Formats: sequence, structure tokens, C-alpha cells
Amino acid sequence: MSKVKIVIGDRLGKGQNIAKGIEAAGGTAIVIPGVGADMKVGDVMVSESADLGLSFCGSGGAGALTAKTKYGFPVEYGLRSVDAGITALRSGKKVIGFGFMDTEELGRRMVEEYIKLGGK
Amino acid sequence: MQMIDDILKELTETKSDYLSEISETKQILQKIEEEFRLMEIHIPRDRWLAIGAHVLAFVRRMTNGERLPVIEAELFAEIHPDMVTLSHKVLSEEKSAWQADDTEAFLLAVHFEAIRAMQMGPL
Repeated sequence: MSKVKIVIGDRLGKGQNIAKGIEAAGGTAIVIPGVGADMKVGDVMVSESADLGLSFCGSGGAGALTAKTKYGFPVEYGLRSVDAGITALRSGKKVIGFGFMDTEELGRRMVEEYIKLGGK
Repeated sequence: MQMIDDILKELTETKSDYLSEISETKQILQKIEEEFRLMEIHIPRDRWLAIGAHVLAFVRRMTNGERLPVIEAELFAEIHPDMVTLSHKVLSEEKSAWQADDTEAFLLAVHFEAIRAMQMGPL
């Protein structure tokens, strides 16, 4: 069974803690490096055939909307909590945008929920 | 101008809780449109959408008195200083009570830098 693959794009090039949580839960994390990484989430999801994308800036909207516009991914953004992210995942969103939130818990729980939903 | 109205309509269709921030957001987007027109840099629709979402969230943060964490100074080296200056300019003067700090200016400047670099090449 393949691992759930999640792309992380943060406006400031961060996301390393989320990646740790993803890996700890058995997933594969791809952190896009550099400033403005959030705007590349959709591109990297497609090139890496990823399952999910997480976008982070003030609202996470730029990355999510860019991915939606370019590739038609279902998106949710403006989220502020792990639980809100889980709800978005359950409703079938593929790119989820948050305010800045680089925590291991977010990565871990997104993977756990994705597996629980039968995605992998 | 029509582009700004279209973008705001699209954004508020999916985020109806942002309706109260529309007026201030529109003023800032109009300033951005004017500045880029003077620089003769075209903003594609997908970039407008991303900027619109960002400015809506900015207005909400200012309204709620919310401050984002301070960002590392070295990150400023990754974008053209003119874009940071421009960002400060369009975010200021809206409401004197608003404190658009360096973090806010930087986050919007990254949008500007993406457009600038796309049409004029990287730094």
C-alpha cells in the first residue's frame, strides 16, 4: 500500500514541523522551499502526484485558490485549527489553506484522518 | 475595475462571512491596480484572485486587531525592495487605527514579487 503524499507550501518557506508529523504518521511530506512556496502547491501536487496539499499564509487562500484555478482541485481556506482542517478533509477537499501553523500535530492528524477515510 | 468587482464577487460567493470587509478590501485592490498600471505590469486574473483573498484576510485581521508573528529579516532579501515599499504604500493610509506592520507588508509583497518576477525576470 502506498503512503499518503502531502505537499506543504508556506508563504515563508516553512512547514518542517508539519512534515515531521506527516512522516511520523507514516506519510510522505514534500515541503516546497523558499518564499512564496504557497503559490506553488498545486503545481507540485500535480508534478508529484500527491494526495493532498496544505497551504499556509495569512489565510492560506492564495495557494488554495491558485491550485483551484489552475487544476480544479476542491479547496477550503481561511482555517485556523487542526479540527477545521480535518472537517475540510472529510468533506473531500484536496487543498486546504490555513493561517500560519507549523505544528507536528497538524501533519500527523491529517495523515491519520486520510487513512481513516480510506484514501490509502 | 471590473476585474476587482468580479474577483470580490467570486471570493464572497464561497466565503460569505467576508462580506463586511468588502468595502475596505476594494479600496486597497484599487490602489494596487493603479500602482501596477503605472508600472505597466499586468496582473493576471489568477493572481488577482490570490491577492483578493489575501487582502480580505488582511482587512479582517486589522478589524479584529490581530497581529501575525514577526518574520525573519533575512527573508526580505528574497524579494525586490520596491515590492516591499509598494506593499507598505497600499496598506497604509486606509485607517489610521490599522497597524500594517512589516510582516503584513512582506506577505503582500510576496504576491507582488511573484507577478513582477513572472513578467520581468527573477532578482
